[in-house]
Amino acid sequence: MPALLNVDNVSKAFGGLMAVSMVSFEVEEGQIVGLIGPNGAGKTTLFSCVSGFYRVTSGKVYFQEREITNLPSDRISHLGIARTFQIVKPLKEMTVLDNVTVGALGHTPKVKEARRQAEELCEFGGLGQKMLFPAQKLTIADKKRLEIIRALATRPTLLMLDETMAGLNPTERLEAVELVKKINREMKITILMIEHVMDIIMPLSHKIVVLDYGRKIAEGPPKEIVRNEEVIKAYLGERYNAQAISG
Amino acid sequence: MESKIALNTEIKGSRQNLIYVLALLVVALVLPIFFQGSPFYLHVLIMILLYASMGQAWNIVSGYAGQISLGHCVFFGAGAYTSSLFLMKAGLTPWIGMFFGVAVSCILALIIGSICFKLKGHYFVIATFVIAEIVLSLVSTIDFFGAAVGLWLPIKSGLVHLQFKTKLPYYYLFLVFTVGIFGFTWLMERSRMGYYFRAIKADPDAAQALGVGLARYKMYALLWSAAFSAVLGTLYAQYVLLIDPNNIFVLKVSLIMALVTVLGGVSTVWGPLIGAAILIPLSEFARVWFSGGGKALDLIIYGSLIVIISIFEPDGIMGLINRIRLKRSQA
Repeated sequence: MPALLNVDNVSKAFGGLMAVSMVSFEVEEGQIVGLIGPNGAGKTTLFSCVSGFYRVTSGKVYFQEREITNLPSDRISHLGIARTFQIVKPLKEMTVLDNVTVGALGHTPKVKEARRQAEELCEFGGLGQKMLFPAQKLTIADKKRLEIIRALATRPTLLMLDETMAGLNPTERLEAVELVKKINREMKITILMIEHVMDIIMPLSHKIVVLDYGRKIAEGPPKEIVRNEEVIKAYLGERYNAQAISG
Repeated sequence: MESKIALNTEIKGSRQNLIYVLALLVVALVLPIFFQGSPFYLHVLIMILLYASMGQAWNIVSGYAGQISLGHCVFFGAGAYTSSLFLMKAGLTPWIGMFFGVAVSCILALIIGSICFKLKGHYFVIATFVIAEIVLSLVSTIDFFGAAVGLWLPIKSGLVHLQFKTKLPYYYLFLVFTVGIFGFTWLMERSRMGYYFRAIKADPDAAQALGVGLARYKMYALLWSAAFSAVLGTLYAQYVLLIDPNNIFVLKVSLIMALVTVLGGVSTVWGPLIGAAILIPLSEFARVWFSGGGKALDLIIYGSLIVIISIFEPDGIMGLINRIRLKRSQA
């Protein structure tokens, strides 16, 4: 079966700086794929290239075997790719429910129906009690939830999560992990996620892609990645490696 | 449960609002009867309706969709000039001229939008302002448009010609269009378009990631806004029967459209009406009381109001009202 998402030799340069350099990988339908790497490795830039926020300098992106390179991001959203933002972007003056409704309106022109779906999703994602809050009044943890719920409202086939666990306390993190699992298993949505917390991403992912200085330095199942010499040197450090082997 | 209760109060609130709206409509219908003997007061009422509607037209693109324009006099003028020129050169009734005005205004909106929407924030504002200045100098030098002298409309009378001998029919004419434009905005606010406009204003990137086509929906907002402005331009021309560039294509016109809305509350249906009901009598009475000297005085009033609103209540009077309502419902 062909891959759901195929990133083919994608590069992105800002002036003379190669933020992403000839990166290729695939995301199979139904999987959770983790994208990791040190700060400034080009993870978010790559996300923005796939979701249409940046024009790629070279390379191609295919989604469901269809080329989507450099399509505007609203078109990409309609095709079935939803993304969240690392630096949360709530529609501040609007309520939580209205935020989610905007997402649902992409496939349902009727506001009533969109609002009904949005209510369901708010309940599903654990913001049922806060539906009528202005989005700017939410805590950071809830804003990150809102990012995810809102993206789900567009009915994506592929959900791209950009550090949705960063800045959360351990309890909130566990809840977020459960949410991601539910989305992947119950809603059958494929997930590509950027994450820094190794204890979360390693057990959650079917496959890990590692970036460093804009290049892909490794790709494979989590078990192999934690033993990969280059990844350990560039990112994980000796400590995590030792833990992983002994554990 | 909490949210269900909140939703219920939302529905109750909307019923209450309907009663307010009907009461307001009755007042608007009856009010001029008390002022029949005094054309000046009727004129003030007509100006309130005109500027409330113009503010609402501005509100669609600059309030809801957040693309702040200070060049809206162009669309207003396009309506006024197109229907007047058709009337003078071809004897066409303004009822049809109005549609030509809307067409011209929308073509201008397409041109202006496709250039200016590439700009962000302050640059967009400056661009719209500059375009209006260009239009002013073009219209005031081209003879076909009446140049600096302007256009004197032929005097006729009757509904067909959209001209009346007294002010009362004008009042009801403006009222009908005001209700239409406000009704449209009320519906728009609750439609997909309204949600998309507010999303674009709140965060264009987030909106686009949620599937909102930015260029398309910004253009929709501008087109609706330009169309309504043009209709009001035609009505205005038929009311004053003399239009000249220095009263139409000037910053003051664009500024009042913005100011009544900002004063009343941007991105609210009632904001432009509240703002106009306060600001227009203020400036009209200032003009009369201080006669010649009043011309500069109303500008001073506008300027001070902008400063006061932006410091104390950026959400305008509707923001103030909503805060009081919220406090009451919590108490």
